[in-house]
Amino acid sequence: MDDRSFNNQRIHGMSDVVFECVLAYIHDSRDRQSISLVCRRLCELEAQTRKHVTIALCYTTTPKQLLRRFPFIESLKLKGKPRAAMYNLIPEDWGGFATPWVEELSKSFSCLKALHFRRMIVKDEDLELLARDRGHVLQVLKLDKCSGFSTDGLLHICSSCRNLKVLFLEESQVIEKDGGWLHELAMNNTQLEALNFYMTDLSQVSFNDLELIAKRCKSLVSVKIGDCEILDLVGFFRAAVSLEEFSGGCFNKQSEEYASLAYPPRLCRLGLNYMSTNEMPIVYPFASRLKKLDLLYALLDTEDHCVLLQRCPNLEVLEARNVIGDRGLEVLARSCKKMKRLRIERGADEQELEDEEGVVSQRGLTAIAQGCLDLEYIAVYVSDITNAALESMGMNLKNLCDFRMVLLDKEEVITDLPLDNGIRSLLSGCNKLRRFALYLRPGGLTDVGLTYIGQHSQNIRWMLLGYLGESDSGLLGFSRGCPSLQKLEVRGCCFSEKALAMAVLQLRSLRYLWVQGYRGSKTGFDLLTMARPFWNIEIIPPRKVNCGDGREMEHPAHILAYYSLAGPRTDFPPSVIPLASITQ
Amino acid sequence: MSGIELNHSRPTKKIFHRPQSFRDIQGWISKMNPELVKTVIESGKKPLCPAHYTPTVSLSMPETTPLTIFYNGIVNVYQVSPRQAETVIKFAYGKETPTSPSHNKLQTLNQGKQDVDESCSDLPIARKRSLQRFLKKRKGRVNIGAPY
Repeated sequence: MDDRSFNNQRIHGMSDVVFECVLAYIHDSRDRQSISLVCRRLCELEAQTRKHVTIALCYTTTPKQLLRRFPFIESLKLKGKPRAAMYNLIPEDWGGFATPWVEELSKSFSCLKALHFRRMIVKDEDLELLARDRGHVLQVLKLDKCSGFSTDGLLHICSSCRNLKVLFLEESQVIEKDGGWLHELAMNNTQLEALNFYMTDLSQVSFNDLELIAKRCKSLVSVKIGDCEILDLVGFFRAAVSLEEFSGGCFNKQSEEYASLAYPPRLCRLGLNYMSTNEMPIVYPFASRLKKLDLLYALLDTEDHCVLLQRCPNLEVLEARNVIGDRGLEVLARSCKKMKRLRIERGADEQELEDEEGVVSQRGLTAIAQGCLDLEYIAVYVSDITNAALESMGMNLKNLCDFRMVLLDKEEVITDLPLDNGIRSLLSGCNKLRRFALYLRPGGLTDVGLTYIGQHSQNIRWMLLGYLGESDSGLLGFSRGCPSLQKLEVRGCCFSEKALAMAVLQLRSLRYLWVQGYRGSKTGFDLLTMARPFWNIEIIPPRKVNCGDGREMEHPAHILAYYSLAGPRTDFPPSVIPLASITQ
Repeated sequence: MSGIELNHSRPTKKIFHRPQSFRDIQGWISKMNPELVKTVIESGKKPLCPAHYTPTVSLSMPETTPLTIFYNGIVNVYQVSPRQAETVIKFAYGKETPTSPSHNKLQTLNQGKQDVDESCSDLPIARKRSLQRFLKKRKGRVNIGAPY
């Protein structure tokens, strides 16, 4: 193993130069990780040539450690809050502060061009610092589901980062003071390729600025905006000749006024927010060109989905609410043979607000399984399910990498529970699965079924288990398998602290655990069975949360545990409590 | 001597103070022999944690402390939360078991098997923030009579 090589000498008979050339072609981080373990010289070479790093949880390491290991990275992705934050389950002040990272990145990472913060708290001061020290080189800035900053921070970025190609703010909670930032962007930038402030509440932006950006940025390919009347964007659409992707806007006027609306000629990825039946025909002229369709925020019923999807034979990505219904999925299966990614979200619970046909069940899933054989990703909220539907998916969807299914709780009686056999068939058939989420109800999967999951998930790296199993023995059976499982989320399963701790010790690849809803021990000390070096354990105690409509909801405790090279956090808010690691 | 005496002999780390619920308990302590109380508190000052680790906080929370009941010549000691102690006291007084809401900023993590099981299986399916936002907006549009 020890190469005893000096600088610029030979490793195993080959000069450094050879390895440097070869390394330039190796991009996968797992391959690079393997290479860096061969010998010290290769570790150094690999570190010097690493271009991108993703830190899945910002508390697992420190900025200084990153600098020591990978000083020349050009692109960094950092994630903060647990994924559950997207479902309003995590306190807003939980953490994931960008400040210490921005300080080090601005000072020391001379090659950094692309930065992506996901679910983190970013301040205006951070953006100002970034703009001042990195403004001239920054090409990509993504503030993805972030919070803590205002349009003042954006103003700094847009004034200083003249080479910005990508500005992504999707779903961030931005305090809006004015629309000046977009105006600065329009004035200063000719390089922009992607602009995204989708699902933010930024409404003071001017469509004139959007039009100016379209005119000046010849490479503008993707634009996703907030709520802005579509008719005000006629000029923008006319100017954005290279545009391939557009989402956002809304249809507030009378349908006839949209008849002459012309979308850009290369548009093939489209989000139709607040579009209703009468406006649908404007899409028909180019529907056959569509590769991606986002109907999550459209105002269409089941029949509308059927009519529209029939005209989209080249569709590869579809996002819709369950108003699409089984009938819509049957049309999709018949008409859209190139489907790769399908996401069916949960619509309104109140019957009056959604089409009564708007439910998805085993019927729709079976159709998809038999019709869309290239499917790689499926996420679906179902109202009913059978083992046979899951078996069909296991038999047919050989390219499936990501499977997520939630069984809604409206129907009292489900056709075919438990799903033990169906899940086993699905997992053994779809052997390329990397991500898996199953959210059922008590009785949905027995302990045997949970053990099957463990036994048939060779390559799965991330799992969400919701209301699965019956007892601790199910969890223990599960944890004897899952050889590749790195990240585990558990909700509503009522496993005991002791079983959770023992499962953690058995899951050999596990580096991150999140649990909400579990059976606590008398003393609470059973969790410490999993105490070990470098393993941080944190608790978010039970709390009452304001639901926004006058109601208060009781949120049970969370456990969050993860490997870290940085020791315990030093920035705990009152809502999070640490259990100190035994190395402290 | 009979009657219920409350004995806070081994105080755990009190991170979260709950004055309202302790009012009754403190009332009882003040009627006890102060020397006895002092002796018991002094004898209770032993670390609870094993030497090889020091958790920052006890998961059993400050809530579970011993409740010593002297009754009819028999002494019994129970580990209870202040809420449970309150229940016992009120029951002894002949009042109904209270269903008083907790005023704690932080509630007991381990409320008792039944409570925890219920809270386990009672979690509603959480909705994604983006969808929630849209459904709320859509309701608003319907309410103002927007064409749809």
